[in-house]
Amino acid sequence: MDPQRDTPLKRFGAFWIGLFIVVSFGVAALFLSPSFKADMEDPALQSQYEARLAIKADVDAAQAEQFEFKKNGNKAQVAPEQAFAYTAKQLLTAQPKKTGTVVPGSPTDLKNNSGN
Amino acid sequence: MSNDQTNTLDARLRTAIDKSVSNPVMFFFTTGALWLVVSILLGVLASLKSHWPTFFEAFGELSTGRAYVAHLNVLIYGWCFPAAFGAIIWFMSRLCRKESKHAGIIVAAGLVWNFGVVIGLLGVMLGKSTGVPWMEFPNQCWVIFLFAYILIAIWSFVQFRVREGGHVYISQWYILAALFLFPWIFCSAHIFTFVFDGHPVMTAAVASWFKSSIVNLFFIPVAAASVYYIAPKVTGRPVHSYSLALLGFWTLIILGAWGGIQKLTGAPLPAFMPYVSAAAGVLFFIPALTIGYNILMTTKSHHDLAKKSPSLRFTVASVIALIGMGVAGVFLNLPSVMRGTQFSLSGYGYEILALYGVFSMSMFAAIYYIVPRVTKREWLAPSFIRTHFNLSAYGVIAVVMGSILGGYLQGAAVEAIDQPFSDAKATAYMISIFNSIAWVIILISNLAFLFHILLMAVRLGRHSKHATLIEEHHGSSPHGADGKVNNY
Repeated sequence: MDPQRDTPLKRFGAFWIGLFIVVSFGVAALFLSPSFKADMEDPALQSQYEARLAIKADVDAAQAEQFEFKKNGNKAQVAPEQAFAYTAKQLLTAQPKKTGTVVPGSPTDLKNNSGN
Repeated sequence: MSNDQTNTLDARLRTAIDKSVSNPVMFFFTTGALWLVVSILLGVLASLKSHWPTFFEAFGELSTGRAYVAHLNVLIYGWCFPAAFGAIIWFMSRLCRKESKHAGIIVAAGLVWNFGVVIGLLGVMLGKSTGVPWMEFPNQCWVIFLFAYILIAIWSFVQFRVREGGHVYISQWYILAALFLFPWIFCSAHIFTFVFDGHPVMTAAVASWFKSSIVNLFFIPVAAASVYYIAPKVTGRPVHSYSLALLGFWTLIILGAWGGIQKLTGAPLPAFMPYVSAAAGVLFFIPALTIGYNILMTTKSHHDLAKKSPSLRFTVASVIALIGMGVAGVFLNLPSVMRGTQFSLSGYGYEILALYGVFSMSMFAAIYYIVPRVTKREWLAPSFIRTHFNLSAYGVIAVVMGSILGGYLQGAAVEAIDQPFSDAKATAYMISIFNSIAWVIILISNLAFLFHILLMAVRLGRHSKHATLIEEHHGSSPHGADGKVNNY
């Protein structure tokens, strides 16, 4: 064992050299960061953003209006979550209506076809 | 000084080194084995849910997206890194012939690392994942990991600086490279993804680069360090060719940082970027073949030993997988193939080949070599080792072949625009079922490994002067023909 190689001073130095090498990557990244920032100030894109944002605002306003409460004579427009319970109750209490549809293979269908 | 006296002093030094690193090494290997089983369980779950979506459907935390993400990230940060740390600490201590004087700090840092993995896993399961591949643990975890890594790894560099004079071993080159390349890759990727307000497309490119670089510049070098240590030690022969070792090292280091961005072919990136990465992926064949050939030639006339010695068997399996990874890299990075496999399961198969086939097999070899030396006990049951090897090998071959070849067929089916998309869906469905079965096989193998290493951790191994060999019969005593031997 070579006592010259393994001294507390050498260990201390090696620790800080190692730490510096590890940390230097992060420090280098910090110095390089300005060149990697996304350029959001392009004037040609900026005017398009503004037009698109204006259209989006119009669409959002029109859609929001559909959810507001409005009374129109006998009818009322309510938000969907208010209408669900009422509509469900109506559906549960409603009686099935007679339609002209004949289910194939049903007695009515067979009776209708027996004459043919 | 006579030869006998030198040998005795040498043996005492090795014993002292093993004793000084015993706690941190066993800590990393044992917790790593535990996280490996957790990761494989999550992999089984993710694979099952991909073809059986209603399995455990009541638990949103176990949905495919979360289970798959958790599976990969726990595999990497819970098993791969701790196993690498344990191997690095032991190899560097032995090769530099220096005892570790900071075992306590290393174990404390290891606890911090495991805490980070727990936080990360909980974060992913509760839906707080970042969505960036292989960096899906919540934002705060990477700071914990970096801090813990510095406290674990810096002592190995200090040992290298104060090592006894003489030759620098091949394993030491790889370990040193890995020690400093990891913080570069890790810091760069996380700072440019999570700290700087960069362009989102650049973030995607950085994330792809991270996946490839962490494999090529950390896991493969640590695997290479392990195989270059164990093959000569077990066979008693020097490495076949020093020049090939140099070639393999430098080509890996130079090419390793260029890959990854081929996953973004077609993305709004400069056109050269994905194709340069693909070229680097193809050229990876050079270091893979170089390392593989060098080790296989070193073990050439020791087939019997490769059958009996667990370390050598896993080492040979690892280098064969490395050559396979080189071949797969050539195949998957051809532009004609990449077009179809870009969004298929092939990428997953390649990742598992790298993480399990190459790296984990080399770590198993290291663990089977190192643990008896630090615990002063031999492995208890050859049958556990056989089970671990056979089921791991079959399982990983099944997952890799199924995913890579099946992914190729899946991609071809997607590209065939005159055929219904359900063809591609049917191919993916069959691959998923195949993968589920394969992961269950790998789970069984690693449950045997976990049980075995836990027994060793509590010092319930055999008291014997002779290593546990795979094809061994103990005779009348479980400790071997010599009976119970006190190895203290």
